[in-house]
Amino acid sequence: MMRKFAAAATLLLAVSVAAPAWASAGLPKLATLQLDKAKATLYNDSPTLLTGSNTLTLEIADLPEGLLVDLNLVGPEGQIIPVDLRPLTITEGPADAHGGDAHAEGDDHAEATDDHSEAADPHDQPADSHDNEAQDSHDEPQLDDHAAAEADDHAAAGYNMRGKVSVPTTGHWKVVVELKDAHGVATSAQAEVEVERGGPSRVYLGFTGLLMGGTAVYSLIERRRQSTRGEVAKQNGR
Amino acid sequence: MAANAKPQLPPEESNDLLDSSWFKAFLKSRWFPAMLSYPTLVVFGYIVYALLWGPTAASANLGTSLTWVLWWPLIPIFMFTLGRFWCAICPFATVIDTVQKVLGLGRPVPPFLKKYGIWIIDAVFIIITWADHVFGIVESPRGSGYLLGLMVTGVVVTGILFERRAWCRFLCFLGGLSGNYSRSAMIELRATPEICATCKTQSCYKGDGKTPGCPIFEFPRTMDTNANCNLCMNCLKTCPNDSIRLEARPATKELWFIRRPKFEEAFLAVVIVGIVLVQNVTMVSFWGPIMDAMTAALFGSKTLAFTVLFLFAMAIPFGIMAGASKLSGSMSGEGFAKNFARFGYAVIPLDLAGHIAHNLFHLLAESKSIFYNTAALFGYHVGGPAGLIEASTIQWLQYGTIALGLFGSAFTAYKIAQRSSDGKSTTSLKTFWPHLLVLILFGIVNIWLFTFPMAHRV
Repeated sequence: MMRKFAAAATLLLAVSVAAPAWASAGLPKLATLQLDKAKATLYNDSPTLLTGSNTLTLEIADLPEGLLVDLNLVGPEGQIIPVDLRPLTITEGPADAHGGDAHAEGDDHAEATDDHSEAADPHDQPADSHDNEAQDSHDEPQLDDHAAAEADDHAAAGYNMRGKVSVPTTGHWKVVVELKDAHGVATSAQAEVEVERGGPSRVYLGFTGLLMGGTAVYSLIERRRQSTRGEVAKQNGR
Repeated sequence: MAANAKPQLPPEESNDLLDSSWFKAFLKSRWFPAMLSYPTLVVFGYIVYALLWGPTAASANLGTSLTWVLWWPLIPIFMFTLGRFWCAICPFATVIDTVQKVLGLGRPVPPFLKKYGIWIIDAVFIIITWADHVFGIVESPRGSGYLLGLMVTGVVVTGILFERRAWCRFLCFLGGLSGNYSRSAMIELRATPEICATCKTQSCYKGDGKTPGCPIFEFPRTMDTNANCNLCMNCLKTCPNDSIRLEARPATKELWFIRRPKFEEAFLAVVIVGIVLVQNVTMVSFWGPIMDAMTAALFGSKTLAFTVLFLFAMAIPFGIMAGASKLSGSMSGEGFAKNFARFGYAVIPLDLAGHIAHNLFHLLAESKSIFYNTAALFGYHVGGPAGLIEASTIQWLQYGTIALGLFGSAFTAYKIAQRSSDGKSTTSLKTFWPHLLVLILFGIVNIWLFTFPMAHRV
């Protein structure tokens, strides 16, 4: 029994020398952009942008009032994909009890989450009416007058919006954040992001598919053989 | 009373849940477990899709939330109250049954699987726990998806090749865990021996043409353990003599005397102590410096460092328990292996408590992530703290759970000590004390670990 345990342990140790640590955690930060005096942080639901659906969260601390925010992705061939941003509703509840360095990779998320919870009221956000004709292709949320009025009453406040976007291709993309006033683009900033292929590994899919499919085919052949053998036996009067 | 009639107890004394006619009718109907298992399969399908094709950040992936924040914490609670009921509605079982109808070859299970199945389960459980920390299964949606996908592959392959639910009985690591935990459960399904003695059909095992027999290769007539009963109710549906009973019982009662204790099952129970300790210690604050020191000492390889610590953590409970078994066995003239096999089962209540207590944190401190991620699925963006209650309250619940588990284990060890290995009563409880001390030690370590703040999964 001890020899079996030692053999298994040795094997595990040998594998572990070669194996990388892939564990990851937290809501990943994609980019930080400086827009004059305002700092924008962009989070994603994956560590990088992936082909397919991504949910981006844009936080802008100290956003001057009266400015509208646009977020776009610009592809390697110049294609522009607007991100439809909607207010992030923050619920109340007990504070997250984060602890332990073991979760160090998620610490950014821990801090980000705490910041999210402090920016509690979506009505604190500046009006984001997207009346600009150049943005007609957006399907933007229509904030009510109440929200716009309240936003005007506030001093420069935190901005906390989230939007889903579908990225079609891999490659080097740019994230562009624009702040617009009544006269047009007041300021903008951009960051490079890499878009990777989403979904599981093709090798994995191939391996599991082959195993299941191969077994299924084997079964079909074997069942056919058995039924043929049965028919032959019947014909021979056995 | 007719020969095949079930011995009737007065209603107030009967523990048989099947005395309720509507409940019995429901369990015997085609609606059970189909009305639960098919929706579970649909949800499972979505979960696998979300894990493999959805966001790769755990906190944003609904598959991760549903699996590791909701299902994994609830599953040991199910096992304690309802035995292996999860297995009755498990999507893997539904996949096996469906695949077998279309493609099944129905071959007998190979002898090596029957002989070594539980060891394979032990090894797989250990490897998965190791892989979780090295490759990130729980904290990586893709990792979780790969694991579930591999299990589905195993399920399909074994379902096509072998008869009945060979995967569930001999290969599923969850089945092994369920089997151990469900021995502590508060219900049991048994047959009535006096009725079965006159049975000519044995359709509980063979099936009756309409409903298959036991899918887990159990023969209800002689079944005396919850370990392999997945409460599918096939035996209830096929039994022509109304022999099947589904009774409530004191928790852990089955562990008090096991007719044929198996070393490999006791080994799994003790290994789970180590696994629960690893899961706890890797989520507390002092783990980081320990890992850093080990990594520096071992060629800068974090993986190698973790593996060494992991093997150490597996070996310690086994070593301590082995020492107690040697001492305890020497007091009764029983060999080490026999004593270990008998008393190893006593740690199961503490295993269960440790598992529940650890996951109470994730369930109560992170469960709003399920709501947020479900809302996101329908286009509503909601965020905020993920907890339902304060962390300090959760800690007290954890302490209480461990205390209950420790009591359950200690009482079980006491009852085991009251009988010698041949089942005869004994007045000597010398064999009890070494195991009691070990259980108290395991309990104290668990409680001590819960005094530290725990890291989130999502």
